[in-house]
Amino acid sequence: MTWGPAFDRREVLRRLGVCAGGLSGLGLLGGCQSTSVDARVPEQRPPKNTDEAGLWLQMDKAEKQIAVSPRRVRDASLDAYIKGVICRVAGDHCRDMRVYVMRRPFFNASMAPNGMMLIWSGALLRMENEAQLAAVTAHEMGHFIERHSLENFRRLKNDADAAVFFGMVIPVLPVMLAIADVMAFSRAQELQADTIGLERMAEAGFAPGQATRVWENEMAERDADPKKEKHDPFLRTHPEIEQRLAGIAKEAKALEKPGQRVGAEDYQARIRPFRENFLEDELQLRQPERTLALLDRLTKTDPGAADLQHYTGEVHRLRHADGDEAEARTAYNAAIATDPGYARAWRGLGMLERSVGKHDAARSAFQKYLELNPEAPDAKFLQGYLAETS
Amino acid sequence: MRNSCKVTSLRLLRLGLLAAALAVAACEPYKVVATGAQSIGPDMTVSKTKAWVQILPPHAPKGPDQVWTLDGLGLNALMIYGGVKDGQTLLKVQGEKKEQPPAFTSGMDGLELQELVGATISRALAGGVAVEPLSLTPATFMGAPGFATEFAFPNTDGLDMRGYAEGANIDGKLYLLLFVAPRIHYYAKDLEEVRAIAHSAIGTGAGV
Repeated sequence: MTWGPAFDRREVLRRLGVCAGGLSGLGLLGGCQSTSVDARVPEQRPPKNTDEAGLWLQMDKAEKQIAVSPRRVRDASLDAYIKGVICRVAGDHCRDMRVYVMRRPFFNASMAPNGMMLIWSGALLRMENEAQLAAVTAHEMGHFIERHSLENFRRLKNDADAAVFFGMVIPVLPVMLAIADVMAFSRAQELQADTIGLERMAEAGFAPGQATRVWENEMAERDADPKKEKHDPFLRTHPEIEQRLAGIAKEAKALEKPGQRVGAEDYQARIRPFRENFLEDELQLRQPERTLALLDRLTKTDPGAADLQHYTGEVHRLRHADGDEAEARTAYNAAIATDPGYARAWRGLGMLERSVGKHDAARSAFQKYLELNPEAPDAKFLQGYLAETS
Repeated sequence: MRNSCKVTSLRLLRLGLLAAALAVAACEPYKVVATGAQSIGPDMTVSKTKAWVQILPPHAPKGPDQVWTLDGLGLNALMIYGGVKDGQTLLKVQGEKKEQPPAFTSGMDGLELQELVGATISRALAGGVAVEPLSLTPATFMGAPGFATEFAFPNTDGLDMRGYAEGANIDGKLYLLLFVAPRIHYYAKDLEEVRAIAHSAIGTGAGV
């Protein structure tokens, strides 16, 4: 089956819904519970002794772990800012939602049926403004409002293998594994969430065209990567990206109005304090082409930022390709020119010069680094190097 | 028909699990590390005092020459490398399509090795979160100038972990001990033993 921008998306959705319900209704899955659900009612927990209550219980358990996880970015003011943007698009559902920013250097956000919204640091690093944050979270809200994970839960329960899975494996496997299955949304569910997300963000006054921009940025990054990372968690759960992008662009255009909010400055001011840590995580992925494409884009929205210049240097230094030595040196020097007190750039420059045997230049860069950061974790090692080469 | 299938598949699965359990028991996933000197590859020997258990392939993480534990891999894992060659990774990430950590190159020394260890842990054990370096000091390992580093990271199960690595690049090959354990209780409990093992390392082969 194919569909695309030439079709009316709502009609396609309706048909897909009929098909999915039809299988159960015709008794082809004998003994199956209907998987279709109504949209959720705000501020209402599911009645006890229902499958939905069971699903929420699993998610509540996962949320308890996530709330205390060392992977969580704990910052009340960041959480409050994100929650504020989300609540503008959530309306009556606002009080049902809790936001957790998690340190994962990939673009992803998810919303569990109990109201737990996870936003990965890689998504916050990549977004450019409030409207993009609203777009991503409003999409997840679409899944939440339509109770897609309950649909999936019922579909899985109706499958014999899944019954074995839920009956036997959950007690010994992390709860997150079960969540991954319930949260693997179908194409129809993704399209429905796209539509709901766009409508909600436009109703809240955000520029819906920024939803398109999120996807374009992601695709540009992916295209820059010679390996075209196929196991990207974001893309794995969001198939047929080009077709979806065309549909989103068409719907967004129809919803555009003058004066809609983008909110770039506010967003960047809130994210900037966390950006260095997020970039450090990104660097560990050792995907230089992709990271350079990201840094190049971020630099356009925030030119002359020392952290962006420094990490550009780091990517070049660690890649070791032709021309990288000079590119790295230029980038570190740019960071130092922007902010002579930016210790990391002095260290990076020292590492670079040392690796190419320019020990005098390395020594002076490391000395500056240690002056700025005398308690640095690597101070003893560097002092040893300085003593050896003096 | 569906229900009978379900019952049959359940029985089959249980039989399969039983068979798998027996198979695992038959191939012994571990063995007790004998007291006295232990050869790690052809070039290195270490000694230990505690009752370490060696996790055997295929149950051990791929990359190290030997993987030891005292209380289970999740609670203390000591990965020992007796001569990593140029182009090899320290830990292989499970899954064919998964990006692997960066490889060791023969020109690396303490500063680069700290970066290598950090990137390896980040990719293999921390779900992409950068390792936080806590210290980097010069160390003598197998009689050669080397390094020792401590670091912190949250693992993919959401546990706050600590790590210690000590080793040296000797003639283009990496000799290394890499220890990771939960910050609470386990890391401090066994760190001195791990350091003692590192200090006991001696070169034994023609290559060192």
